[in-house]
Amino acid sequence: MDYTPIVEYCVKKLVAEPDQVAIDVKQQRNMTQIEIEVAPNDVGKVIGRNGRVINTLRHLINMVAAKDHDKIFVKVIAR
Amino acid sequence: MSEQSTEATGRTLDEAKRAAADALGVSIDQLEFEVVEQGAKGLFAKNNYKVKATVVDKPKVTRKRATKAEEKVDSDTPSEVAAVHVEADDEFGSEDINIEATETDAELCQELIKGLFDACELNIDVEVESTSGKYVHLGLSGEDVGMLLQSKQPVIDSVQYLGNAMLTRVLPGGVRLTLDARKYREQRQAALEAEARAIAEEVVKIQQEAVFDALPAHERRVIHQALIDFEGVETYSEGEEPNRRVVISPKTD
Repeated sequence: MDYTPIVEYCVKKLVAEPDQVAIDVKQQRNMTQIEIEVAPNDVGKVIGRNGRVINTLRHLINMVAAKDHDKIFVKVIAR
Repeated sequence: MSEQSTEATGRTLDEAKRAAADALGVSIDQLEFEVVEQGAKGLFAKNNYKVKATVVDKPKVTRKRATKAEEKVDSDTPSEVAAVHVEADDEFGSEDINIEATETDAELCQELIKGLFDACELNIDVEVESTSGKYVHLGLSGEDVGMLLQSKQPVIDSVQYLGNAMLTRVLPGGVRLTLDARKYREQRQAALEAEARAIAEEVVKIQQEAVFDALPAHERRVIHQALIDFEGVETYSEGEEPNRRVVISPKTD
C-alpha cells in the first residue's frame, strides 16, 4: 500500500508553508524510507519537541504497515 | 472580593510563581513575590520553592478570571490546584483557559481525524460525543478500532497527540481534541484509579515512595486527582517526557 497520503495529509496540516512540502519514497529490498522535505522554518513543527510529533506519525504509519508486514522509516529533511 | 495573596510551591522559582499567578488568576507581572521557603537542591527534590504572592496592582481586565480563581481556591488548596493544573496542561496548551469549543470546531476536529484514518485506509468512524470547555471529545468505532488499542503504547494516544499538533495550525485558538474508543478511556481511568489507591495504601503502610511506570500526561493527571483527598500521601511527577513518572510519597508533615 502507498503510505505517502498519510504523511502528506499530516505534514501539510503541520507546516506554515504547505506548498514547500515534498514527499519522496525510497524503496529498497526490504525497507521503505519516506523522506519529508519541508521549508527550513517548518522542520521543527514536523519533528516536534523531543521528536514527539514525528514519532507519533511513525507510530501510526508502522501500525498501518504492520498489516502488510512492512516496516517504514520516516525522515525529515530541510529544503 | 477576590483573594489578594496566596502561597504556592513549585520545583523552580518560576514554577512556583506561575502556580501562584494561576491560583490568583492574574499574570505574573501583577504580583509581588516573597520566597517563604527554599528547600534542598537536588535532582529529585520537589517543591523546592515556596513563595508568597501578593497582588500589587489589579486592572479591571483581570476581574473575571480572578473570580474564577477564587472559586478554585475555595474548593481546594492552591498548591494542589496548581499542581494538578500544570499536569493537565498539554504541550500545545493555550494561555486562555476560558475558551469554549463551538459546534463548528467540533465538526472540524471530526473531519480532521476522519481524513487521517481515510488516508490510512482504515475502517474507522469518527463521531463527536461531546464538548467541554476547550475540549472536543471524539468517539471512534468500526472494524479497525481494535488496532488502535492493542499495544502497550496504544496508537490512539499517538493519534490524539498528532491530531492536537495539527489542530494548532488548522484551528488556532486553543481548541483540543480527545479520542476514545470502546470505552477505553473510562476503563483505563478506573484501572488507574484502583491501582493508584492500592499503591497509596502500600505507601502509607511501609512509608516509602512508590514510582509508577511512565504514563502520558492525561493518565498522570488521573492519578494525581484520584489521590488528592487520600490521607497520608502526596503525589508529584518527575523525569522528562515521554518518561515522566508519577511518584506517590508518604506525607511528611
